[in-house]
Amino acid sequence: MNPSLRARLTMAVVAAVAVALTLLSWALYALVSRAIWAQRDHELVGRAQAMAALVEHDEDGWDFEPPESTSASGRSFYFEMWSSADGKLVARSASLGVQQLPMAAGSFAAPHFADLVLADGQPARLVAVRFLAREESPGQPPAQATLAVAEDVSDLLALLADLRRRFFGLGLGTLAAVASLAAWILARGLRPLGRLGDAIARIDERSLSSRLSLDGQPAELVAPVRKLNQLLARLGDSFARERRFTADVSHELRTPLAGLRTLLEVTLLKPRPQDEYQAALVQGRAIAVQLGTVVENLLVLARLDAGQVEIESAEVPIMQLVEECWRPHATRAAERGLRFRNEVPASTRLRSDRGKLQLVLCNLLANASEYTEAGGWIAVRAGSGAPDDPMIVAVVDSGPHLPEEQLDKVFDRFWRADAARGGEGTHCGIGLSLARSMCACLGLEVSVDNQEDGSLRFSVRRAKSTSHSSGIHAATP
Amino acid sequence: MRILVVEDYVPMATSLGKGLRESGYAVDVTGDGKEGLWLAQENRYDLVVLDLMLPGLNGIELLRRLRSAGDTVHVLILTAKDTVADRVKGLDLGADDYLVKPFAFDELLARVRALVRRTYRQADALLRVRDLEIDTVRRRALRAGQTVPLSAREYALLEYLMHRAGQVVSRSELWEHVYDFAAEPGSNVLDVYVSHLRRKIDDGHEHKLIHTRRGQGYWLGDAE
Repeated sequence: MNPSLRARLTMAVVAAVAVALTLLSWALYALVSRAIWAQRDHELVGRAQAMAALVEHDEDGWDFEPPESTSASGRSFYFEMWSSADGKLVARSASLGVQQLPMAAGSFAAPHFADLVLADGQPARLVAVRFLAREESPGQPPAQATLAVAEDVSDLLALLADLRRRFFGLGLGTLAAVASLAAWILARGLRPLGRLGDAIARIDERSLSSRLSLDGQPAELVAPVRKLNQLLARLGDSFARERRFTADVSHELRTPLAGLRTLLEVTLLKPRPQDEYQAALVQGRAIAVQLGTVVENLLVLARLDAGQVEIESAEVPIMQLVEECWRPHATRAAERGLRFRNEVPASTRLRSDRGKLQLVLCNLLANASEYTEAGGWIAVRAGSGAPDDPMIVAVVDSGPHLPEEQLDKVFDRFWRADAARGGEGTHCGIGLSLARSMCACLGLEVSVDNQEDGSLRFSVRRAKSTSHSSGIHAATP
Repeated sequence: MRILVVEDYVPMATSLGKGLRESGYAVDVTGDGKEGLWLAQENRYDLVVLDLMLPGLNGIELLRRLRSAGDTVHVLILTAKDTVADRVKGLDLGADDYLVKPFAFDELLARVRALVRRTYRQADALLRVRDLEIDTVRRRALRAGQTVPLSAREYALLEYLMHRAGQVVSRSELWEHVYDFAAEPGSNVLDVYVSHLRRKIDDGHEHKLIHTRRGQGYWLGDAE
């Protein structure tokens, strides 16, 4: 499982605070220890000065009364003094034993300090200075001596060690406090995220119309919440489209199925003469054919939607194709008193996918034979095929016209014309939509327009954008 | 009993018309919503069988207009739409029943009978006046326990008179409920059928049940 945002942020805060605390403690410790050392050095120099003030010199030599080897503060100290003229030892503390102090020396203005460990392992701080002793013999120049004073610093080192321990403990404690405080603050700060998560978890396909509230959202979450709401809107739309499609499909299938069942059950209500059975069977067959077309169209539509369509390419003779496509509709058209003319020249050919082109023409002809006013006519015409004429083939009927606002809607899935062009009850909800989708696959376009002579024309043309790349051309002799 | 069928899918409409007529109902069929509304408002139907997706005026709108005009005729919705929302909408707008396509024709007939019974406030499929009894499911009449053989038209007349037992039924009412537009007009046809019916029901029985009131119509029940 991925670490939570809260854990990650807490870790980061703790690490940053740990670094800051370390740097701060180190700096503080350095300052404090320097101050303490400076103070101790100052004291040491003061002691050396005091001792130097007691040193006298006369013609008999050096006169020096050594002080107690323990100071008032209880710290042991040691000294050695040499004559600068000959380097001879003048005096030394008895407690020094075999220990020798180094002879390097500075002045009182710039004393020489050193750290050393005495023979018994005691840590000590040393100051060595050269000075002029008080001269008792008149007329003599003052004699110079070197004084080295060392003082036990084990108490100081212990103090500093204690200080380090305290800093470390304090640092750890602070870090622990910061860690728990950061965790708590982050938990509070990230609460809107949790609430948003809960709100999202409550959304399912039935509540896609609900939106996440922007009220009370922190500024950082406003943009993601807006985006989520837009996503919800898109999802809602596509769910609604899907539901409508399913409802339309079921309607399209149930209507003829119900007609067939009722026809059969009514026919079976009682024994009938032969001709009544025959009429019922003919009607039943027509419904079965229609149902088959609906199923076929739905399957093609589903494949188109899924992008599972392969396009083949061959020279297709249009006139023959029109004849083939008209055959299944001829009976229905004759029933409705419609005349049909195939005006496509025998030589017109198109490089395209024959099966798919057939589907386009069949659906256009099915539509015309259903919706043309009874007693009218249907004609199929070819375009010139010239490069500046994109028209390939047109299915024209004697009308009625479609209202202008419906001209584009007829290609919508499951759209049904109103009474004006209502047909006689065959529900052709997907044929034209399928023709349009198929045309798009073939690099063609289908459109409908009301002609001035009262006829209605469905025309198939080369699509503007792909007219040359699609490899489709109309060959004329 | 007279039924209006509003259905635009021709094979369904013709089969429904045929099946209902053969089951003894007078049936008018239209495939257009506007015409359906006009027919329903102009005639006294015992039941309207209504498809929802109609050209001209959809079934829901037809029903809404019918109800807002105060028409209480029973409406049976017949549709391929089966979602709960569709059903609720139809029933809320005042439909009395809802049947999803495809359906069994027998079920449609049973629902039609139930709705007709409701029209005349009958709970039972058996109607009884004195010793005359009819079975609306099997479409049979019994007088004093003996089966009375009746033609479909005669049975339809008797059933309507039984539903309205004790009330004077005018000849135009009888005509409206028993004949549809497919029947040939002519008012003496009705008198001929009623006299046939009277002979079959009352002949040989001391207690006459079918009576004429001059200038007003007929009634079924005890003599005044």
